[in-house]
Amino acid sequence: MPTPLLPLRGIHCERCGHVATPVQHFGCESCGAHGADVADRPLTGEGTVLGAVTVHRPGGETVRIGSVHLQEGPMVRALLAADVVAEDRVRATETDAGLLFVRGDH
Amino acid sequence: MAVLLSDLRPVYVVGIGLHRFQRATDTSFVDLGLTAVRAALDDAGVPWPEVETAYTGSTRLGMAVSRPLLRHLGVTGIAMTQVENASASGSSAFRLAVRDVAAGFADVAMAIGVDKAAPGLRAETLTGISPLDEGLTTPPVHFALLAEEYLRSRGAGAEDMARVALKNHNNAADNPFAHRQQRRTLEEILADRPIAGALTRLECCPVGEGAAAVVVVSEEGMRRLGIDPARAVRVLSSAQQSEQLYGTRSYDAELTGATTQQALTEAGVSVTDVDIVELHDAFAIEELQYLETMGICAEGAAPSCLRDGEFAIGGRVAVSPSGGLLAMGHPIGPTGVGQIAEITRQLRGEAGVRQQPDARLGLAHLVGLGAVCVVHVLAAPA
Repeated sequence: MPTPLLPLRGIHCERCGHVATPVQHFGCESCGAHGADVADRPLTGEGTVLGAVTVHRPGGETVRIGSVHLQEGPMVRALLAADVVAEDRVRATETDAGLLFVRGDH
Repeated sequence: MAVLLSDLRPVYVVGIGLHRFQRATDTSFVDLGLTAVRAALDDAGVPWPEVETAYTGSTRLGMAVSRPLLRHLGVTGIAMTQVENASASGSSAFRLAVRDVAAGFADVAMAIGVDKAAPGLRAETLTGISPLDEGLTTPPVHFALLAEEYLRSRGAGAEDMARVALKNHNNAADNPFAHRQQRRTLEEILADRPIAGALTRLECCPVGEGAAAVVVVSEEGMRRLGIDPARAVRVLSSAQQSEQLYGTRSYDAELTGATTQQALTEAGVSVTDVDIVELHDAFAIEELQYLETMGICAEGAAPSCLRDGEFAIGGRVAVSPSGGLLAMGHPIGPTGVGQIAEITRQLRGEAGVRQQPDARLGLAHLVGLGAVCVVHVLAAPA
């Protein structure tokens, strides 16, 4: 069974407060804390689009990809709904194609 | 207290050689590499047995690239080391050769870059961490997103970015070692095949094959080998840093700013003294961003300075007179060594129609995946 995409998960460093995604158990990139100091937590999946572009794939298909600044701090790159533009507020949804950010007020 | 390059023995580039950067062919990497190495030795007037150590930058040729290439110069038993640092492999190979000579471990060293077009394996994909954007954020997508943010926040347009490609393609048209040697118009670049966001194919670098080599020596080596100091280009500084956490700011640009600042400070020069810049323009947007974070122009001023010809050959500072990664090309292993070759040619006043008048100071910059950044500052012969 594949891991469900939602809720998005991240790591929260108990020592320095740094929040990052995706989840990993190797250690905090900000301060080096590891083990029990780094906790796996759900994220809201809500954020603001910093930039959005249409990408032309071989074969003529186009997709919309953006940089999303999540409420908790991390920046992620992800598929966007076709109508999403920079500065939109968005939320994560799960689709057959995977993770998709759509317009939505928090 | 750690020493700086300027505290150690002076180091000079005295020989440069290239094999044209080009599309993938059946040519062996040995032929590519030997062409560049023999040209660099001839240019320096240094016989191969005088070379005491060699560093070879390469990313897609597998393990142990040096000896299968260098043994055909006649075996001498010297230290040979392969250097892999993604796009900055050649820059790091050069840095290691320079440091060996500066520290006194060698009087004559070579930095070489050689590569063929082939898939590369990235350690990042073997960490076991599954990124949310797996397979989504290819390099053109990453830079298209940075471009979208940059152009929108500065009220600039797609044509402002396309002017980077226009300048660099037309510089490369006069460079016999460039991958792309065709003159282009702004309209052609803008109307070319769209890749991602505003980036068209001609605003993305070609990754092919090629080779580059340089000979670096100490003053003692120069005297011993009877090398003419009038063609010797001094390496003033060598800086290398890796990415930190920058929040939502562009890590490529932030890392570039910090590493460039270190290189200029250690060279004891001001950014306003720089006459030549060869930078990591794998995608056209990078040139605009990096010229600003390097301090070559004010924040937000790159599009207008470019439009006014300040970065053209003959302008205030010639940026990528070789054609840069966009048009000279980006065979990866050789790219950083190729930058040193171009800057050396310019600082010797031997760049022909591409010559930046009165060029005294040059800066070479590459960013490699990871990200790492390497910057060197070089000065013309006294």
